[in-house]
Amino acid sequence: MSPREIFALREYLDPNLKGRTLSNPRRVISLTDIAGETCLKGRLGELSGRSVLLAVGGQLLAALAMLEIDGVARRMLLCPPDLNADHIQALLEDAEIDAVVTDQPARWVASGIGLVVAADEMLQPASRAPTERATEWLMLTSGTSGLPKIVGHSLEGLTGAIVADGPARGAPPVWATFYDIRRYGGLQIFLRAIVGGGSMVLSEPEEPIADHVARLQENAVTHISGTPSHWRKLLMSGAASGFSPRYVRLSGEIADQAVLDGLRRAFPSASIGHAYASTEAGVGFAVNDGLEGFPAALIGESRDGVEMKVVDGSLRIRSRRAAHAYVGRQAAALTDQAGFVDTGDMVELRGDRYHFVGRRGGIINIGGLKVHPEEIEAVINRHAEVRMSRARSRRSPITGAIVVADVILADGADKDRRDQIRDRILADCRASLAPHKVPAMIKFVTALDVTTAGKLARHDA
Amino acid sequence: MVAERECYFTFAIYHGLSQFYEKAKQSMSVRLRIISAIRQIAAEQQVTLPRLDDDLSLHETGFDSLAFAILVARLEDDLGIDPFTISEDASFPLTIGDFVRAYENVPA
Repeated sequence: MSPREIFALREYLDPNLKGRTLSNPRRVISLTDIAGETCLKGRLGELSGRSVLLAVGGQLLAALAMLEIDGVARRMLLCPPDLNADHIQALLEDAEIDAVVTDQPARWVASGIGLVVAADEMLQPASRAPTERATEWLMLTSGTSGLPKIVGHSLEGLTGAIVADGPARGAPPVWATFYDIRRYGGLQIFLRAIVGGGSMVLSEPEEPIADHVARLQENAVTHISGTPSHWRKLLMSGAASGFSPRYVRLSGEIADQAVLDGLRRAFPSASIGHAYASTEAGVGFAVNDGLEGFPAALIGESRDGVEMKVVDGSLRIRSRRAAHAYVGRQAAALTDQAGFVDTGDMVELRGDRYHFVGRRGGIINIGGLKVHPEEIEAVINRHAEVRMSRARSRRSPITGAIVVADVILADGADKDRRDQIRDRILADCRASLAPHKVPAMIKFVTALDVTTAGKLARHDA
Repeated sequence: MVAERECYFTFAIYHGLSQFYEKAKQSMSVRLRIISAIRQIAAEQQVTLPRLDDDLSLHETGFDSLAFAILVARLEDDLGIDPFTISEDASFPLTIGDFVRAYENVPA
C-alpha cells in the first residue's frame, strides 16, 4: 500500500473548514486550528512506529492525542478512565506497549515503559506531521469482571459504517454522546464528528445531568447517542425539555419499545433509531423504524459488507468493520473459521422481527431454568408508570434462586398507587412470561447503578 | 422491710407476665404475617388453599417449590429472618405448624 492510500484522522482536519469545535465544560478547542498544533509539546516524532498506551484522565486530551498520534504510532491502546490498576501490567505486556502518552508523567517513570511522553491540553504550534502508516487501534472490552480483552481495529474498519452512511445532510452536525470516547460507542461518535466535518461536545463524568443538557443546548447539539440506560436517566431527570436534537441514537444495550416511545414523546421531531454495535463485531446495523428488535430480512443477506446469521440463538456477524483480532499472548480467536464473530447476544424470532433477549453470559438460573433478566425488564418497562427496571436473581434456600425486580417509577407515587402498579406489573408478567420468570417481588427504588460504560449494572451476571 | 420484699415479688411477677404477653403477641403477629403472606401468594399463583391448620402438610397446600421460594423471600424482607438459610442443619418443615415454628424459634 503506498502511503498516499493510507488515511489517518489528521487528514480530516481541514484548516479551511471554519467553526469546528471540540469542547468539554471548561474548554473549547478549535478543530480548524489544531492541524498546526501539538498537545505533545512537539514530541510526536518520538512515537513513530511505537506501541503507545494512551493514558490520560479527560476525554478532551484523549481526543487531541488520538488526532495527533493516529498515522504515526504502530498501535495505540485507548485506556478507559475506569481501568482497574491491577490489570495494567498484563495489558502492557499483551499489547507490547513501549511508550505511554499521559498527563501524569511522574506516575509512569517507574513503570518500565521506556518512553513517557507528557500530554497537555495547552496546545503549542507545531508543523503538520505527515501520515506514516495505518495505526492499529486497540480498545478494551467493557466486561465488568476479570481482565478486559484487547481488541484490534483499523481506522478503516472503525469508520466503515460512517463512510457507508454518507455525510449528514444540511448544516455540519454537532455531535454529542453520553459515552466516554475511549469506548467503542463513544469512539464511533467522535470519529463521526471528525470524519464528517462536524463539531463535538464531550461528556464529563460526575456532571449533573441538568448541567450536561444545558451544555448540549448551548452548543446546539444536533446528533446525540447513548445507551438506553443513559437515555432513561435523561428522561427521568426532566431536563430534556427545551433540548431538541435532530438525531437520537441508542446502542450498547437492548432498546426496548418503552424507551423508544419515551424518546419519541420527548423529541417528537427527531430521527430516533437504535444501532447494533460491539467492540468486537463493529457496527452491525441501524434500525430506524421506531420499533424494538430488527427486521428478520437483515439476517442472511450481506449489506455494506456486513453479513449476519443466528446460530444456537446467538447473533453472529461477519463484517469488514469487525475487529481483526484479540491481541495478546493467550488471545483467543475472535472469529470462527468462516470469519463470523459470535456476539453472545441472544435473539428470538417473533413474527417477522428478531428481538434481543439478553446476553448469553447474563442468564440467571432459577431452579435449573434459564432466564434472561432483559426479557423480564422489557415486560416491566412497557408500563407507562415505569421508567427503568432491573431484574436480578436472589438466592433462595428452596430453589437456589428466584427472580426479583427493582423498579424506578416515572413519577413518585403514593403507597396505594404503588400497590396498584405492582399488581398490574405482576399480572402482566404472569400473562406474558413463564411462571419461573415472574418476579417473586417487586421493589420500588429511586436509583439503579449504571456502569461507567453506560450499561445497567448486573452484579449477578 | 417486709413490704419492700413483697413489692419486689409483685414486680417480678408482673415483669414476667408482661414478657410472656409480649412474646405471645410477637409470635401471634409472626403467625398472622406468615398466614397472610401464604394467602397473598396463593391468590397470585391461583392456588386454592385448604384450611391452614397446624397439622396440614405443606404438600397439601398446593404450593410448588417456586411458591415456597417466594414465600420465604417475602418473609425474609418482612420479618428480617430466613430460618432455612441461617442454620445449615435446618431441615425443611413438613407441616404448616413446623413452618411457623421455624420462624418463631429464630431469635429476632
